[in-house]
Amino acid sequence: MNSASRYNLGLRDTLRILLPYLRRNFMDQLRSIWFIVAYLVLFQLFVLQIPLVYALMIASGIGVVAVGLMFFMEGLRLGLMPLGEIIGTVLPTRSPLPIILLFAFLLGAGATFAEPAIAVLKAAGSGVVAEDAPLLFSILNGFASQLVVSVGIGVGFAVLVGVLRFFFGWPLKWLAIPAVALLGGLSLVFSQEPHLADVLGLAWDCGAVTTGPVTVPLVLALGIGVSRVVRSADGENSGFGIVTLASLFPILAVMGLAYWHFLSQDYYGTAGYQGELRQTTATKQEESRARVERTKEHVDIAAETYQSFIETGQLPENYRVTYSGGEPRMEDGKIVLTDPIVVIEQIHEPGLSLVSEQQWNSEKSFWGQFLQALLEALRAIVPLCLFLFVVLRVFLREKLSHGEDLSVGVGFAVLGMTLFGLGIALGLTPLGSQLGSNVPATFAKIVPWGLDYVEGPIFGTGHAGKLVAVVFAFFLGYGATLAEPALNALGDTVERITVGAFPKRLLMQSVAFGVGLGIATGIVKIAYNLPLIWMLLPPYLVVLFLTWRSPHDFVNFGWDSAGVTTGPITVPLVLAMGLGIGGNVPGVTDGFGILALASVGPILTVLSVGLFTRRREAAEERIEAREDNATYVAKEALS
Amino acid sequence: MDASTPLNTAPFEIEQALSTVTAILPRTQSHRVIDAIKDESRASALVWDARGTLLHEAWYKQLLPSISPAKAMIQLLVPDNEVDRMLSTIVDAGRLHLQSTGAVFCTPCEDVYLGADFHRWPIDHSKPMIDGSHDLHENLDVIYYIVEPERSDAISRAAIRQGSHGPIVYFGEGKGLRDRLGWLRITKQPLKEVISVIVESADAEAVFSAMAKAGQVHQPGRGFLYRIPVEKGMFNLPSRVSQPHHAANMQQIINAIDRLNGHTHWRDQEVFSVGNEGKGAGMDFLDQHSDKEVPRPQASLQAIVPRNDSERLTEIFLEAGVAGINVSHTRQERSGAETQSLESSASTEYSVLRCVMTEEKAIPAAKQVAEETSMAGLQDVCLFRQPVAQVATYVPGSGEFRSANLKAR
Repeated sequence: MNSASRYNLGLRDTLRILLPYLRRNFMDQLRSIWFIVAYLVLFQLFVLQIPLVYALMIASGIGVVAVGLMFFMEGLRLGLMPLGEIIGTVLPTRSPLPIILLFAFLLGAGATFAEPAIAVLKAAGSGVVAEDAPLLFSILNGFASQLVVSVGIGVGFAVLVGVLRFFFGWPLKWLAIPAVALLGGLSLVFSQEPHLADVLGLAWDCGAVTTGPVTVPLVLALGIGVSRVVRSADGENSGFGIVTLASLFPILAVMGLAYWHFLSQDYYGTAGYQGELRQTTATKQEESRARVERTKEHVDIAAETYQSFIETGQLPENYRVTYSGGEPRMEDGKIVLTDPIVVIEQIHEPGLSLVSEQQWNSEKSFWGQFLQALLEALRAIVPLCLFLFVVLRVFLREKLSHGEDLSVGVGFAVLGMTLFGLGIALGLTPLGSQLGSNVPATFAKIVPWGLDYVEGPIFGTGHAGKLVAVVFAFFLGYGATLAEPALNALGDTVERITVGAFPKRLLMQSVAFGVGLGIATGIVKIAYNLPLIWMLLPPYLVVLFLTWRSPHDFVNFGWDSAGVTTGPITVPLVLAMGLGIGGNVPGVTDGFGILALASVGPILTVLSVGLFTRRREAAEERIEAREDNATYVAKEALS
Repeated sequence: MDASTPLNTAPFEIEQALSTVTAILPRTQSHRVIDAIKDESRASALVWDARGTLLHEAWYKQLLPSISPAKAMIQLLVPDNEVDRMLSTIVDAGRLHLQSTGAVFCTPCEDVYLGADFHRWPIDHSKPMIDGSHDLHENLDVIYYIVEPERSDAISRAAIRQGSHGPIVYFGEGKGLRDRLGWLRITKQPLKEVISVIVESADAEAVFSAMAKAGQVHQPGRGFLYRIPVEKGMFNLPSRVSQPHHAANMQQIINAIDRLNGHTHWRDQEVFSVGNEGKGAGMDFLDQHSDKEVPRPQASLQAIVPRNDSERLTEIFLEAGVAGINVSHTRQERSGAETQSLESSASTEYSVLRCVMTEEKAIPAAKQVAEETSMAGLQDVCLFRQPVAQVATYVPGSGEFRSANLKAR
């Protein structure tokens, strides 16, 4: 664009363009996160009746999340997705197939190392005891790096096969159905062997967590670029499917890793074990606080409070005074008691205090969290973008016509991701983990998160309490999914590919509903300590049937949405709840399996919506058959 | 990319006798029509993905999830003497004479500039001429509304209420204003939706003004609305879809009455009611035909170019004094490109640039664009002009609604 035709805008006009833009984007993000935040806060205050800890920190964190999401989504729109799409269009025309496949493999593997899910998995397995589940314990600890590598290889192959699919026009359903059948069969075999059975939850969860908010949009855009250039035979392939494969192949890879170690017998407790033998859990559990039995009616007064009462005469808050004994007599028309015994009790009044006195977690400094988030954002975005940029400029020699937009976009993405990570650390994680660990109060006696008294069980029977927890889990999954940036990006992409025919809102609602269902099922699994395999196989059988019946485009959308649902917002919330509930159910050591179930749910719902609405489309085509009917009605009208 | 009939070595030749043939079909049917076009003659067709519009009559149906039907829009550049044959090929292959199938229409082009490499129509005199034996209408108009995506539903609804079929919507990119904002351009989404409706000329005014009102086109940033006369065509597009067991819809009844009466004049005079289905057409446009100023002729300038060159051509357009351009991306389906190897299965993406201005500006602008294009070395390009009947958009400096053909600027 030559500069002569540019408008010269003053400050006022600039602001008039800029402010509505900022407001619109900010409100968009607020709209996507308000539900989960309001839901969590209200549930804690009114259902559990436990005051909110670190309220100020959480509030500011959530504000930061909204700003961060705003920049990140704009960064995706301006930078990451165009970059992926350009590569996708240029690569097939200028490179031979082997080079393209090598690139695809490197991209997939690299994305896994950039957004490692291992921390999430370790958190889920924090309660694993070496003696109970030796193979799982070893994989999470001694073989953790092998786990990352095998997940990376799995994702790499997934992207490779996904790109190959575009060239040869393989329908996704004929890849997904055999893959799931294979995984289901292997899972059945694994479930027969105690040590291998422990690993199943980890393996299926690996599939769910591999695809993060940077990888998904990038890979989606890449797929769209490739399929713009390569028209496959059936013509309906629209660039989806890589995400699906990227959530199936790692399961296989992790199962393979587990089986290899099982065969070579070199994990904890077996002959070939190399590491040190110690009795410990996977990660050090938080030291349990001194639990003092306290009732809601009256709490012990701490020694310091007593000391300050002696010195200043200051009474603690929420006190109750009772007296007994004493000599009553009448004096100037008043009753005066001499030498009564006055008892001052401190009482705890739930519901009265909405927020606890701790407003900010002193262990979390703002700048420390900011730096950590910045580092994570840089690691997730910059190497991938550099890789793509180098491939584009050096190997493909493509000139970028929108260089400025792209770099602004990548900058926005880094900034957005930093703020987003910071906001999650300050706001959503403390909120979610206190809720997650407080929810068991519905059916068990617990010490609320960050507080120091015992609460619950709120509901008399264990089953009613667990039911409340399950219902809570459904809405938690629903709300958290609506806020996931990767799902937002998928919704935009689906809307764009279908020229607005499949609205983003519909996709997001059905996916969120499905995730809610999945997470609720996962909580049932943990609350009653059911074996994962029997929770996982039936929904997958239904999904296989629906997949077989569904049109190709819905298979694409449905399966891809399964891979994107478990992102940075959902995972901490869900894991905290899973671990919290598991900790109060005897025999449950890990929080694995919930995420895997959370990915089946959306496939189920999206495919159902697809089959449901296709009836309507079929109705439109059937109208032509009723032409005679119309003529008849018209004749009636004229006569 | 070889020119199949290199008649002329000049960078551009001006051909007069070309028309655009546009077809709108359900996407599931489109492959059959594209194949038929390829079989019929070694033609090339541009294909857009589009969506239809569904309106649900009952409020509870609006709450249920709905997915708009997938449509495809196909456009070809056809020599005038082949137009009838092409129309009937499309009608036959798409079974367009049936209800709720699709539409096809042709519009003549003026001043066609063809680049040397542009895939042109091989004129085949061996095939017999076909007089369009199908029941084609001659008094049709197409209305296009280029608008921000979030407004398109309201506009579609307004058009349907005024008796049109469910509009077809496809994506385009707005160029012009956005590129002049400097770094602030990141604040403007380039994505626009193009709503297109085919109407009988008699209904055109009413639908046009209903759409203008629904889209508030008189306000800044609310898009661009214009109407192009069609030479001939037919449309059988559905307007609304009910439950499968529901009786016939309005569109079907109107069409059936047309067929029984043998004409469409009754629509102008009568308002009829059929049970409680609703009221028929019969538009109030008597007062709109009075005391109009002589309209200034408007023209639409359209260019077809490979997608890689669309940026360059956009700049050429803007330099030629065009205020804003709508660019939509499409893929070219061409016969002879169907070998099994990987390289040739790559489809070719084209961009269609479109802008509307007064005819007196359009003619020199077209000339300048053509010259600049050949100087820039763009060979695979085609540029043509079509008359525009009516335009409505925001005119800077006027707060009130202005229709460009009502008031001379």
